[in-house]
Amino acid sequence: MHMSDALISPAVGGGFWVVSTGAIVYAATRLRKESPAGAPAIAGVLAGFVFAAQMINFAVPGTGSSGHLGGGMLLAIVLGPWAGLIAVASVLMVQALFFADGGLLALGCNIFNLGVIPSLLVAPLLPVLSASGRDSQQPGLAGGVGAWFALMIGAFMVTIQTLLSEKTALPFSLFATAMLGIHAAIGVVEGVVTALVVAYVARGRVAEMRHPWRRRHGLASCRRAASIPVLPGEGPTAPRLAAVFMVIAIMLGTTVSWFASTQPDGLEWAIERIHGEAELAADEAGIAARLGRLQERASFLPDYAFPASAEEESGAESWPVVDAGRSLSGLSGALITISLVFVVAGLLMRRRPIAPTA
Amino acid sequence: VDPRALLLATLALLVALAAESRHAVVSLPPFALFPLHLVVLGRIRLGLLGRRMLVALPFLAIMALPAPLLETQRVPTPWGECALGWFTGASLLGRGVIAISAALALSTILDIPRLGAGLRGLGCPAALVTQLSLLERYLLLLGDEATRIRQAARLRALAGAPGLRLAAAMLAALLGRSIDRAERIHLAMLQRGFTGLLPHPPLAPFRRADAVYLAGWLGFVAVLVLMRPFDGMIGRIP
Repeated sequence: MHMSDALISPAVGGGFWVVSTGAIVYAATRLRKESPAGAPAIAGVLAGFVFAAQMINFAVPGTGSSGHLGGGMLLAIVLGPWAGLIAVASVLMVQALFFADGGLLALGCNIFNLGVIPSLLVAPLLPVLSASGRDSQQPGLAGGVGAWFALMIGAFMVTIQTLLSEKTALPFSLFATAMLGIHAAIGVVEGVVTALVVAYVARGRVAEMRHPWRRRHGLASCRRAASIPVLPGEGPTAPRLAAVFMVIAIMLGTTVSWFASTQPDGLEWAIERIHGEAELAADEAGIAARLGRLQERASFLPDYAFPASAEEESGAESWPVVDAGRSLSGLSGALITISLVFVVAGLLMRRRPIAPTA
Repeated sequence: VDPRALLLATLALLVALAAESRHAVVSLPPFALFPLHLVVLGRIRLGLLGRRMLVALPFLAIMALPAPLLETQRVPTPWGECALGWFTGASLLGRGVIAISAALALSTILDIPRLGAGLRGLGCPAALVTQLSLLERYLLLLGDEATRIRQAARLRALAGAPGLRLAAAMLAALLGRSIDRAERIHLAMLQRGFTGLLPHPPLAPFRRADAVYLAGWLGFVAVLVLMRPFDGMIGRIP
């Protein structure tokens, strides 16, 4: 899933360099504050683990091919967000500089997609996923689901970065479908292996982790490995995390909406082919028509743009369509979605309070 | 050559290469001069470079192949008309070959200690440079560990690649041993007065020759970007 230099423009590459560098500098500062001498040696050795783990190939069921672990999420789980990000970044630097796996200009994008997303966005959410207690299945499950989500968000970011760079003519919907489809399958394998590894460690099946001395005095990394980061004061706090998600959602909402295709989408296209007209003639009197009118009145920005915007009058549309109406639609869509998520999460959390596990 | 000069020159070239239009084909070959000079500078065997390139190219090929089907607009060439997409595809592959060979050649010339020194000279966070050096130091050691685990599985009459469950058990064992080793190393380093950052030898001064080298490549890239000497040539699509 590494981005290549041939696919990105200087603006996108440079932009993500700035974002990723900022994240690394912040993580390095936090790490130094939290464990002045502790983490670097552990993080360094465990970054080596990612390469070693990639030497252990396994048969992917049902395909006849073999694969290996990506390992980004596992590192984030074992090391926690800050050391995890630095370890993944170093792995990606070595991959870019010594194996030409992902480009140098694209390094910023790759650190963001494979490092910042699993370490800073997904890993801090895992305690919520595995919150219900000390049952050894839970951390594994949370780790697996986290690995899948991290990979999917990363794959989606690859699509966005490639299309913003405009180095290929692939339409957004086609590219996004292909990327997300392939990575949904890859992610299942990555998720299952991550889940099994975390569960093995959490269940105390790994001899090195059972040592009584390590249980009592072991470093934070080992405790985390056995119970997934749940120590207070680690990782971004919930409000800060919410702020990060807000910024990303707003960025996506305002910019990605320009790329929402002006061409008919797959379903519309299929209908057009079958019926020879763009939309099925609506039943004028039926309940569908009444619902349609209701929807029209309720949606305050139908079809993602202000009514009768300039593009309709000019006739010819360019793509991407940089348009305030679309941005506003995307923005409000993102805000509505976020509020919904918060409401649902609030309801769920009130029903089952999170048991402290540390 | 100073690692800082090498890194900056490579980055400048890659940025200029990325700034080329997605249909650019004729203007690409001059960019190949940079990886070629690295090959000469590092006395790199072309066969090795080619083999490692083959591993990296398939993804780009997949991205480039559908281009002629997507951009069907006809454009004139000296050999008759063809679809614009052929230029997009060729440009993608060309840029890929140049960028990948530059990175590979650079990696052959710079080892991790020199790379770390260069990065530190360019203001990279010390924690990251320490991390890189530690990664390099323990990479092979853990690789041996993985080989031993794999060997043990094979000796117990396992044919082919293990299934997911067994692989996860092997990975968990590897993770356990890695954490074990990391902890021992960490304690040993603490006892020897490790403060969180590895001491680095002072960087060699940036000599005049390095400055001339860097200025030369930056000038070359600037000429390619600003003067556009290939504008108006056949086959260059605006």
